[in-house]
Amino acid sequence: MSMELSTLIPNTNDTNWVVKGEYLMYVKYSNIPCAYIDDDVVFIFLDFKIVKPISKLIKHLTNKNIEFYFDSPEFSNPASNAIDYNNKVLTHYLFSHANKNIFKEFKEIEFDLIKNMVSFCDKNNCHEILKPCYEKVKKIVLNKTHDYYQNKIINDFPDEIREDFENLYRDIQINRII
Amino acid sequence: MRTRDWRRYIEKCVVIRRLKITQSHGWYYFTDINGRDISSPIWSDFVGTCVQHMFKTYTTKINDSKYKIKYSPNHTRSYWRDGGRKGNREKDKVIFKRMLEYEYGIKHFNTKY
Repeated sequence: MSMELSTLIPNTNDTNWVVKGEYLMYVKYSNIPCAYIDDDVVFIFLDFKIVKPISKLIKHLTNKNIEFYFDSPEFSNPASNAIDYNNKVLTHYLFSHANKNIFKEFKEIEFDLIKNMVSFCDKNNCHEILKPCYEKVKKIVLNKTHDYYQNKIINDFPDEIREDFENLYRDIQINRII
Repeated sequence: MRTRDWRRYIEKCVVIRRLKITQSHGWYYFTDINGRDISSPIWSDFVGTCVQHMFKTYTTKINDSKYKIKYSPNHTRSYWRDGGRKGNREKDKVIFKRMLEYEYGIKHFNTKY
């Protein structure tokens, strides 16, 4: 039995959730694509525009025990180029882990994004790409800039995320073994 | 009735209208909130960015009036708040405070708006 998109809506009273064509959308000024179903697996566009509705959707899906993975919002556009798909999705996974709003929201709902990323790698057989992607993102996250006027070192990302990112690859490997 | 829902709806309309003006200047590369570089952004690409947040202010002041359009329910069309007109509220205020300072000697800490 195939799944319907309308069953994924976390709150039926909320009129901002709309099903249009193949996508489940959330209205914030415009219709922003949120999720779609491919072979009974739900793919959620991890868009930074709508962090709170997405966290509600994830909470709803985890309560229902529905299998889901994340996708880059780049691919919500039908005209987008699907070359190097796995690489783009994995970098988006890591960048969204570094995003402070998503980091905070997922901590509140106790959702493990890294575990989901490893299961995505298992599904698509792309563990080889994960290490170069991680190193590329790590370099950006741990970047420091020196402010000469104040004589201070400024970090682009909060300390909590930076500390988490230093040992993230170890967590990835542990999740892979489990 | 101009309830909270009506005000919210009008604010939404105003933000979208302001975003559509920025869309027309889309010849440069724009980095959206997801970190993507977009060559010709449309107005929905600005959602979530600081630009959209800036446009969310409902009222206009003299500094930002040239970038924003004032909504007025009493006018049929929306209009520019400060279109080189005399007799603006802000301009009148400046003239009044200068008058107080130079003619009557009453000083105010901030004469420029």
